[in-house]
Amino acid sequence: MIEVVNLTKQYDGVLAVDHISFTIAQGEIVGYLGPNGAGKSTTVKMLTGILRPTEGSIAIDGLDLLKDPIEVKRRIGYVPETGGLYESLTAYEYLHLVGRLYHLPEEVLDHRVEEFLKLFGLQSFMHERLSSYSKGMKQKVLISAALLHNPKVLFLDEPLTGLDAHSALLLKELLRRLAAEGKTIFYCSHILDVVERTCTRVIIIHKGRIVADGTVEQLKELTRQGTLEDVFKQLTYSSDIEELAQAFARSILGMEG
Amino acid sequence: MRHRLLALLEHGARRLGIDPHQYWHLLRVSLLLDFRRQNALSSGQSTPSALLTTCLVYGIFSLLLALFTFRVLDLFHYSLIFLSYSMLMIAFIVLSEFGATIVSPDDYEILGHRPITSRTYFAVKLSNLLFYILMIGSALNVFPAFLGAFSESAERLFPLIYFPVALLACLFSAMLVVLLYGALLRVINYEKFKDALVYVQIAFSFLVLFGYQVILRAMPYWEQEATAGSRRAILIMPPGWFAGLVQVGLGHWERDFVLWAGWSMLMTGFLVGAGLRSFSLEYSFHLARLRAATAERRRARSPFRRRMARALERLLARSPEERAAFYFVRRMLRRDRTLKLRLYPALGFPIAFVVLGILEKGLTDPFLPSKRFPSVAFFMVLVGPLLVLNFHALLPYSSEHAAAWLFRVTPVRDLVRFFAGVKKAFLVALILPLFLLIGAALSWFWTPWHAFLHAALGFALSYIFLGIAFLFYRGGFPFSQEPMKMTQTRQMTLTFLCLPLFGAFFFLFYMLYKYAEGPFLALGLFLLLGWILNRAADQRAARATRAQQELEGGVLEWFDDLS
Repeated sequence: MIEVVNLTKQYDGVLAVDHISFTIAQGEIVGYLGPNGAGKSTTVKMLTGILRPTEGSIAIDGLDLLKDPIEVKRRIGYVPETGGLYESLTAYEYLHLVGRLYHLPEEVLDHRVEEFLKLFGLQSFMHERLSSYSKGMKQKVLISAALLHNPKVLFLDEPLTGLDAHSALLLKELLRRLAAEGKTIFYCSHILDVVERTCTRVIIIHKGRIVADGTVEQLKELTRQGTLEDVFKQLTYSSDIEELAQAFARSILGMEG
Repeated sequence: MRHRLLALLEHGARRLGIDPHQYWHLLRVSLLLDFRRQNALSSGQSTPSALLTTCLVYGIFSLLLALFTFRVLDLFHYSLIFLSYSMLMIAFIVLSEFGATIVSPDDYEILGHRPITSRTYFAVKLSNLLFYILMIGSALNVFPAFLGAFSESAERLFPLIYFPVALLACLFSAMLVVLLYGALLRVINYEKFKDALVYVQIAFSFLVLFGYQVILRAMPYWEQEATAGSRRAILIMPPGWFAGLVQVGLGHWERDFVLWAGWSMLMTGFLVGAGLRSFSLEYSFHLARLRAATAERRRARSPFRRRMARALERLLARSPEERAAFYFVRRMLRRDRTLKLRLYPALGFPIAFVVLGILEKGLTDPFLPSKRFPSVAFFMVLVGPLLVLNFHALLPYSSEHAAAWLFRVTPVRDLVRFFAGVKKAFLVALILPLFLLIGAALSWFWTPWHAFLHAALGFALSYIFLGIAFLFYRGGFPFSQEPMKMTQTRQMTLTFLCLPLFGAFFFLFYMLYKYAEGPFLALGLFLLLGWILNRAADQRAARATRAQQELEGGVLEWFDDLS
């Protein structure tokens, strides 16, 4: 469903993403992990057609993203990490705009918008401007907007940001169901235990390169670690966390004296 | 009939690569967003009201200018003047207010992954821009068009011909700026692009402010050329092309007019075509480039400069709040592009005025006996108060307004000292260098002592204005509100409306310089008055900001109660 070959992105001589390649099959939920600045968001932006790669190719549902971006964009849904909303619109207006951009028939659109907002508990706020929404409520609108046109592939960049426990559980369950129905899900996150529980496969990126690709169990076995967190620590060389935390604490407490 | 027309339009749009369904919904939302963006705490400063005020003020300006000229000039020169004025104003407004409309990376974040063609997206952006151009272009030209019918060489058809041509000229002007944006985007990244735009806008500000001086001096030459039967020199100026089109529309089929008219149509067609074709095809690619822009790398200051800056802060700002405000506003004055654009061109004014003074042969030393007071020297000094009014108008706004939450959570206890710090930063960063420059520039013509005394008086006058302006401050922390379309243009326009008040100061200076002790006494008095006013203004700004914070807190509590 997703085929990435030698994907590279260079900014002013700095390699943000360095010749990565992977294939994701239909119905897979792939967790895409990496420390800050590893190139996760850059990869997602290239996969969704927001950023043009410096090198490499991306094919989604058999279509070349660079050659046929509009057709590819019709097939994908994307929940961005930040931004992504016109805050002067109401949730109802925003979702209607999104649906119309995908040419959804009005009656289908009306039905879906109301249903999605109801499922996320936003029905009573749907005619209020998004600027008055909390972070979690905005996130629910973004998720609804990504699912509105029933995409074949879903890209999620930190989708649980701001969501309450109930909504987070709902989303995780929803992702499993969608994958079972044949949707492909690319899940980008920092929250390792969520990835461990939700994803069928994990790709770890560090300094723009893929350092691990496999199921959680395979990665644990390969690195001889007990949890995904330990695997991640080992592969991204951040095992000096305790020392760093100690230095921070010393610095903060030193100010008191 | 209506359905057939709509079908035809849809067919045309599809042939151009525009999705009519998406176009319509995106355009509707883009205008809806413009008209809804209103800060609940900014006393109703919304885009519609700002647009209305701007249109009203421009309409009045045009009416006044038309009343002064319609019985004096022939129709050709009358059209030329108003077309030049409209085209310059439109280009200036597009440059200063519509940067984000034409090139908006934030928009791309929201729409970039949706199946929208570049052409559809660009057509929406262009239509949004044209809506404002049409409104402002109409305001600029409706009165001149009407009064033109009663001009010296009156022609009743004039309004019907002139008005659409004027709108076409405005479109030409706007498209020229759009293409300039496009050309810049092709060669540089977004950070550099934004910097380059600031410099282009600064250059343009000079053109607007001093261009009329050139036009006034060139008018006799053009008229002379016209009577000699040749107006070819005007061919180099776009307003001349459109003035020719007006003449052809009125039935004056002279060879030169026909040539200009044809040229104007050709160039407008070319600009619109170039905008819609080549640029729009690659629009999303350019926007993607914007996203790729990396943070600007700045060199760290040397330890010596850091120590000097610290020492200056400690010397001028007494409390931590004052120091924080002083530091923050100085940084923003150096980094914020809008502030740079609106304030820094003033530092070039002394040089421009010196050039004007040389042209006028009017830069004689007014302190010497039997010398008249040079008006140019007075106008130089007035740049200070004008800068103060602009700073006051711009202070609440910034594109980085979201970061203002910081002020709401940090314990800023002494708001009076905070605002003292804000004003001191402005005085040190802009007013002081401006008047040092004025002193240095005038020293070329006058005794240095006289030049710097004149500059010091200007500084003191600006200090008074700073106090007065902040007595009317609406409250709010610096750079804490979202800039909205047209509000800044409206405030700048209102500032220019204050210009007649300066006549009183001109008279005051004229009287002061007649007596040897006058300037010294005035300097002392001005500084004392300035100090008193600024103390009062700090109290007032602090009170207004506190009241706004309370209102905001109340609103938040209300929301909490609701939820």
